[in-house]
Amino acid sequence: MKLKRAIGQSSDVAPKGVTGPTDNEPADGSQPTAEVLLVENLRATYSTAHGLIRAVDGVSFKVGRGDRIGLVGESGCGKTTMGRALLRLLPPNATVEADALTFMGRDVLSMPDSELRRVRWGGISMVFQNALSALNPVKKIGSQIAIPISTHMSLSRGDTRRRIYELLEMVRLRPNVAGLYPHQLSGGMRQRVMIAMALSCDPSLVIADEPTTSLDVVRQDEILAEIEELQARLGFALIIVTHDTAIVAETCDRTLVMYAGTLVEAGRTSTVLGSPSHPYTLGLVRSAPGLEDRTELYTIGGRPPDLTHPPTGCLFHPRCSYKAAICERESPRPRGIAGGTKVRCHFAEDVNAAASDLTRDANA
Amino acid sequence: MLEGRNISRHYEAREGVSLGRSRATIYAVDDVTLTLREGEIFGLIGESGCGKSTLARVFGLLESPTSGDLLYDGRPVRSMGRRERRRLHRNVQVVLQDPYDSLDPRASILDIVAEPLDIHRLAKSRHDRRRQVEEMIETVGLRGGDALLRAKPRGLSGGERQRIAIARAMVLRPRYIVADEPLSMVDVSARAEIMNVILRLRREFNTGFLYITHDLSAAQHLCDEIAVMYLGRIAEVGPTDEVLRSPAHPYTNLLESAIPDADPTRTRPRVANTGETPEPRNLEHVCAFAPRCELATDECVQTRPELTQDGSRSVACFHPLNTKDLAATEMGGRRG
Repeated sequence: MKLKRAIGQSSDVAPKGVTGPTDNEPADGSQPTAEVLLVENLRATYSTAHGLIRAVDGVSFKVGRGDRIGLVGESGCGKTTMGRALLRLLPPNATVEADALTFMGRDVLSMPDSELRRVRWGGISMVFQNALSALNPVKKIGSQIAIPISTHMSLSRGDTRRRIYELLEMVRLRPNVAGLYPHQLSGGMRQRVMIAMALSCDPSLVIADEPTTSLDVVRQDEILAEIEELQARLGFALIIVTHDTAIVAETCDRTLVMYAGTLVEAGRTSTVLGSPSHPYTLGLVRSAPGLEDRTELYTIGGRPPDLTHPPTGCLFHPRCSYKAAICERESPRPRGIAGGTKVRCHFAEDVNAAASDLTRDANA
Repeated sequence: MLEGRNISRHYEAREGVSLGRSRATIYAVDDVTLTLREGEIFGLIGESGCGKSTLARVFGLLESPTSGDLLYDGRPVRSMGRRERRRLHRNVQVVLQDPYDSLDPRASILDIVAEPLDIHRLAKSRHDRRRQVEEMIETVGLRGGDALLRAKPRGLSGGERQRIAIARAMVLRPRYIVADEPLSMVDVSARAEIMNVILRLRREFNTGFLYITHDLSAAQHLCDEIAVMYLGRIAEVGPTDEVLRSPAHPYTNLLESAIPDADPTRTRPRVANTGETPEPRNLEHVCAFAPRCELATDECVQTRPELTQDGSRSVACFHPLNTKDLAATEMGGRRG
């Protein structure tokens, strides 16, 4: 992975200055007391045999202390790449650039490796999607949890042991789980172990990448309730990466919607999912079953663009029912609209009005 | 009608790896009776490991039951001759969960969808073969003409692959399709399209679906009737709206209460889930849900509750949640 510090004019996508305030600043204009993470115009590009792929393109947002943020998008939209870019975890063919990428005020991109290692897991930790492949099959749970602890905290062996038991208790697992191997645990228990590991070094930010996708609905609900409870108690900031808008609606205060590597809509969850202003968000919300049973559902149609040959103008225009001539020509810049949402759409106000009509009809 | 009567599927499991190992029987499906009618979408829901996929394999003719009978229009499948069996296979098709695994990566889309026609020798000519495939691909909402027919599965998205799998199942115009979690590996924006395809096939061809899922919101949207499975047995079965709006079995209640609410302005109360699911063995004299149930009494750990009919639905529980009152208020509310 190559790193570049962008100097303003280096980007033709969203030049510095028009980026404006970050996408998810509180609508009332108050500044968050302390910023955990600041991302400004983040770009992650893979160079492949088929050309350059802009997997993340011009993403800006801010995470305050104790924030709960939902990042919604489909597979291939760049949400996992973004999560990994924040920790410089991308493979060597990826280039990461940003106008700013700071964690607790420190610049992540220019950080020496020794400091970066402390930030990884100690400052920002991740709960990975597939707990079975993320855990080492031939190591006992206890010794796996011990790895980040011994790397990041200088604890005696006894204190490490106590910390492991404390963490297991935190995620409601019995202490004897420490002596078991991953295959002896159920899917829900394995996901709990992942959470325990993510919390082992008191991080300020936890990124949970599809933490419940492989679980059934009852276990999913349990794990989410637990993440919520731990978040409230320990006060870490949380980014939940998911494709399920219902999970975000329930657990996150703010929502970022990602499409083809860009943030298309960002704001308060109640506004973004309650009355969307981007056609893609509206499509996602409308295509969820629930309102009328056994009737045709709304569909977005088409498929996400091939990022080696992205469409001109707005990346969503080939699938959009609101498209006009301008959409094929001009890529919409992120702009703030009433309600405090930041949205990348030329017709955000029209979409929002249509969304409000739909909600009213549904409630009538 | 495709009917399963007292279907059980047991597996012998070896205990331990060294000398002196014993054998134990795993009751993957235990004494299940279900009827799938033509033109009906029947949902089978439950958590992973509850036996719903095993039951799907029995209904999809991929596996024979250990005991019990599968009946096709009243004829037991086990007593069918070769010709009759062949006709049966034409009328019962399967769509599997993983569209990345279930399509031959080296075959063209044309050959994949045409394979059932080839096996049953139902194409009159090359031209007819192609025409039937094109028609079905259009029915599942895909376009792309020649290029699509020549493409290999790797060029398609998960949602497109799953629609190809449905087209392959539908090309014989079967009366029933058994679909095992067809949406779980498909992107959100493609999910709605596939649900629409299922509803359209039912409307146009009167195809009956046995739809297996753990996604209750999809089941609620698609299914006329649902059966809730727990550890190999049916806990509750009945019309979808009744079962999910006023669950009678405490397990259905737990499932229903765990569905996340997509409306950001509402807060959903959470029902506490306690305890782990027991192993599916030695459960002849207990209710398998008792260790996780708040309403469990001595009776529940001494006798196994049998499925008992109550109006349009059946419940296997000694302490069903008060269905009559709830149903009454539902009716009252609807009339008003």
